Amino acid sequence: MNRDALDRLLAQSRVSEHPDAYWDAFPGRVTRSLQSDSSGRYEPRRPRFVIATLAAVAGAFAILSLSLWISRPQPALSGESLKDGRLLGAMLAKFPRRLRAITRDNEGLHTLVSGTADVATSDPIWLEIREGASDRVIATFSGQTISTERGDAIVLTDRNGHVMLIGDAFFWSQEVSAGLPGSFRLQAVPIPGPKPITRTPAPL
Amino acid sequence: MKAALIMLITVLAASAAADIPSGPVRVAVLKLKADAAVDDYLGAKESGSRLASLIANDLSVLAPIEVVASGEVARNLSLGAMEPSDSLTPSQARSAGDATGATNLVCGRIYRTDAGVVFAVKIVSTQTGEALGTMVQLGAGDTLSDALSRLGTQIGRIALSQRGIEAPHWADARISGTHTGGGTLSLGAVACVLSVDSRLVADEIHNWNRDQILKPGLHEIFVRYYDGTGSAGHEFVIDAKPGGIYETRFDRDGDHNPRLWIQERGAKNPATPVYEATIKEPRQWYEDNLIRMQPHVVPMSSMFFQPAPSVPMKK
Repeated sequence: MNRDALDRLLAQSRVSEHPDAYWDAFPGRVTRSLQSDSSGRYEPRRPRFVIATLAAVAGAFAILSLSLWISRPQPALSGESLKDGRLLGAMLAKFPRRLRAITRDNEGLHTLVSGTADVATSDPIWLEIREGASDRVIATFSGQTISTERGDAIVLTDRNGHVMLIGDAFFWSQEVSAGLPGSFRLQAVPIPGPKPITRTPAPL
Repeated sequence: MKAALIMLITVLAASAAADIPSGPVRVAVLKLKADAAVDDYLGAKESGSRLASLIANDLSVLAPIEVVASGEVARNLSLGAMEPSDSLTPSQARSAGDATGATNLVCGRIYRTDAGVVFAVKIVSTQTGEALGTMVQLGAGDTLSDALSRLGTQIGRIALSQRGIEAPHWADARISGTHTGGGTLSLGAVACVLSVDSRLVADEIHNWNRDQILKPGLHEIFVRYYDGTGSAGHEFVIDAKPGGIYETRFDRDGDHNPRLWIQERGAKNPATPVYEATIKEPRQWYEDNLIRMQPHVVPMSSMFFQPAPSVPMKK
């Protein structure tokens, strides 16, 4: 999909016209689209008839397996599409001021969207949390709340490369933590994005 | 496709930045959450509210930041709505800003760690609802004053960035002593810095003119007077301005007790009230003040928690 096609797709989209099942499957479709787009970019060109044959076989396979696929958890994501902000950006375009977080866990991909457009625009953050057997990857924004086995915590960045979690029962940062068991493992980094516009203060 | 998505994020972020209004930066610091373990470590009950007022004080010296009075915040804002671990919607943040007159709200929590305590705060823009955070550790070898000064500076930078303003460089301040009289055989009289926030100055009498570094904000300065036969001293609280240059001063009429104070070196503005210190024989004076020369986490001066504005000198 090229840039013009994406623009047309976004311009034509109508959020309220789709049932819930559509949005449940949407992150997976975006991911597959991203993956197929980036992998296809480096493929050498093949003869047209080979591509047509492969497409026909793939189409038949897709139709046969469609019913099975719908009932399954969504496929595992490429970690990069969450970590580099591509998936977050695509979902943010679809849900401006409503997207809170995208989580990938053992059961698949989940999108947390607010019912109203009341989510502040803030710096995006990537986290990977391991608690016992649970392993989650989260793409969210500074100021959003996440749930852990030790209770809820707010995720914050200082806009200088540092991330921290403030909870009622625990604290975590790259430098120091408090109130966390040894089985808790966390990595967090800001997702690169544009720097805010700044101006110098007027002389006093 | 990737370029298009990055462009989407850029457009959204740029539109948010374009919404940032200009005007004064007024910060309100709410009471920090702290449990009994933190109070025990700091040796102070209700340490969360005490430290919030100290952070507000340290922020107030960082131009162009203004600080909303804590009483104004408490009257107009339901503190329950500002739990540090809760998210605020932009409309809730705007309501809090309207109620307090603040452009940025600071709330947070103090945690006890193996090595000391951690101050973790959230800074919320009342215009956009954007929430950012910062933290400092207070551990062995650190002082509460320096930790709070670092925290204040970090909060100030973030609050300004949320208003689209690049923070200026807030330089450290300096303080040294003063000296009169003396000659080849006698030292004369000197008012020197004995300690800064419980850190002793080595050989303070002979190093009376050596600058001691003060990070912007409140500090506890123990001033010692010595004239070769007697000693006197007093612990002052100074609100150091960024880049300020201060000196300890004294005067004495005959055999009366010396009067001590701290002032800005160039402008001669008093930075503390004048205190008449009792002159004693040096050994007795040391014994009487030994407790103040031991390392301590929380400042020992009660003035520290109730910073008073500078008052005119009474000479």
